[in-house]
Amino acid sequence: MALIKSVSRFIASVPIYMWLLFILLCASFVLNPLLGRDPNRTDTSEVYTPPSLAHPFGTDSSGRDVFARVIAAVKLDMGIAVGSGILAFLVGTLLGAVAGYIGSLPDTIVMRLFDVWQSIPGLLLGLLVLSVAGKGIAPLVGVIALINIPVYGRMTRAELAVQRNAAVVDSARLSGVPEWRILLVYLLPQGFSSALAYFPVQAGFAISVAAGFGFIGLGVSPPTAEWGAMIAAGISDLLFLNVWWTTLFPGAFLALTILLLYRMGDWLMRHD
Amino acid sequence: MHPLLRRLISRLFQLLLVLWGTVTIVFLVGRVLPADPAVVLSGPNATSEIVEATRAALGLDKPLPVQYGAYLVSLLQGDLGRSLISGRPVLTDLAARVPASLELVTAALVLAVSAAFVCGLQAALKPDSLWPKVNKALVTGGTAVPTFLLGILLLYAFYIKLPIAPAPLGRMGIGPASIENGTGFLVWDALLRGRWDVLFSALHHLLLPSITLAFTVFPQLVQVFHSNVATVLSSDAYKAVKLAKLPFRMVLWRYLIPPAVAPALNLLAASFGYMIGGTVLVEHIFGWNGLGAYVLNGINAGDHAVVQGVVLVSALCYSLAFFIVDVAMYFIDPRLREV
Repeated sequence: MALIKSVSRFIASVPIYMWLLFILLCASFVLNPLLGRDPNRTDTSEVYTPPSLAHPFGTDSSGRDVFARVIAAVKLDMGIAVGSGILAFLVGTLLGAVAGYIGSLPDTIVMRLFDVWQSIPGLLLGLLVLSVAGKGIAPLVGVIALINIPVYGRMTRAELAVQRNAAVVDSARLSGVPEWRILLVYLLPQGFSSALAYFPVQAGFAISVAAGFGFIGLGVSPPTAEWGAMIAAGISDLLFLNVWWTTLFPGAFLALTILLLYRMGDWLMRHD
Repeated sequence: MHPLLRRLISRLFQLLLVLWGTVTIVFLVGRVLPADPAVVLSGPNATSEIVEATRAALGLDKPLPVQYGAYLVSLLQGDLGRSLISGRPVLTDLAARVPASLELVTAALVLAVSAAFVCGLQAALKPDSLWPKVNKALVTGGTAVPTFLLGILLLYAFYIKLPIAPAPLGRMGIGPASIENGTGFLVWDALLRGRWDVLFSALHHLLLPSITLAFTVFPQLVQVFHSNVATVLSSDAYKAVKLAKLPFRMVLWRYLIPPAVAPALNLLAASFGYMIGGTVLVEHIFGWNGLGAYVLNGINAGDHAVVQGVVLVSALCYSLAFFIVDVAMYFIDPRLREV
């Protein structure tokens, strides 16, 4: 019920930064086809042209339009964030719910597993797995989910450890509702709602991690437009050629997206 | 049993358990995931005989539990394998690089903690001043701008536009001669031997990377410290202390700061661990020759022993930080001393 209520309220009063995110995402899908721009089209006659009307964010070392690339990257980076978020959310809440609801030995095992899991700093855990799983979007999504599973797990576990002693659980049990049904139908949705409020914050974190991996060359393969990879490619332009638009525009969009997601998370937590 | 001893033993046991778990995860990731180390190590042009020979030489033809046992035994002997790139044992390479990373992380931690301490305290004591607003701006900026982007922005501002920072090419300029047979902690070595030229150069090079790294944990630290101080300020115990008309300095250092700092100590250990991860990106930008650069080279060359070694060392440092904080809590929190 809490879930439905928060969703209906969500629709009723959407703050400005959510609209901004929405517009950004829509623009990413429609703007390039609409304007006939191709983020990967190179043009050797227009290398490093500064921002102008034809190229609002200028062009990069291969004459590609930076605006088209920055906009195209929105859906990719958001996709990685949301994909990894959903994966981490599902696995994490399920593990946490089982641990919190059953308690005793399963609880101890899952919590110790999380301890070990989190004893490796997130970024290094990602590097470890990526070093064997290889580069690409799918491994990246999996790795970022992997970093976040314990966070969701702990959150849901804390919630359910309290909830399992609630009166509704006792009455359900007395009326012969099977245990798995109590867990999945009565308790998990409540565990969900607190974890759900954390989702945008996690997505913001996921984007910065994804861009970080892209930055060190472990994300998407070139020439795919991705903020981290674009910034990495633009460093030498910035530091040695004084060409600022190839790094600062993707950087600004990256920071803006993270900021909007964090704001959204704040808002959801306050309205939970 | 003495409560301190009991605490030490229980925490040591936990530490070993977590480390054992970490080692197992690292082992499993290296063995169970699809990439076959024997194929990778033999190189792209290897015949199947060579691959089999490599497999036998590495002990990879034996059953998994036997490999696991051998792995544990070699780890206990300090054998982390051999690096493909450098040809040296990974442990030797790590010993040369760990000080560089630890120096950077320590500098960043000191910076982040002292800044968060001052900003949080001021904001809580003077809620109507500019401090809360400054903090909010720093927190928003620090969370929205990813580490690597901040590093690049700082470089652009303080190396290109206002050239006061050195080129992002490592820990020291080419001017001063390096210190032989030191600990590897440049600032420490320079201080001990009175080499002021080295000290200046090392601090100069530490400036931007440590600020960058400090920002990865500053937002959280300052928020927690601010709210902790605010909680103490509104507590009944603190109001009673204020009635006693003690000098402000004494109230501050005996009754306000300790109860506000103690709950944040675990966060300190967490920050340390987070920075050990974040240092990979910072080192990459600033040409810092530490663990981060080493692990990235390792990944790009498919050098698994290097990646695993760095992960193990980082997890060890992280777990040790938690262990130290846990034990230190005993001395800080008097409630833990009761039997």
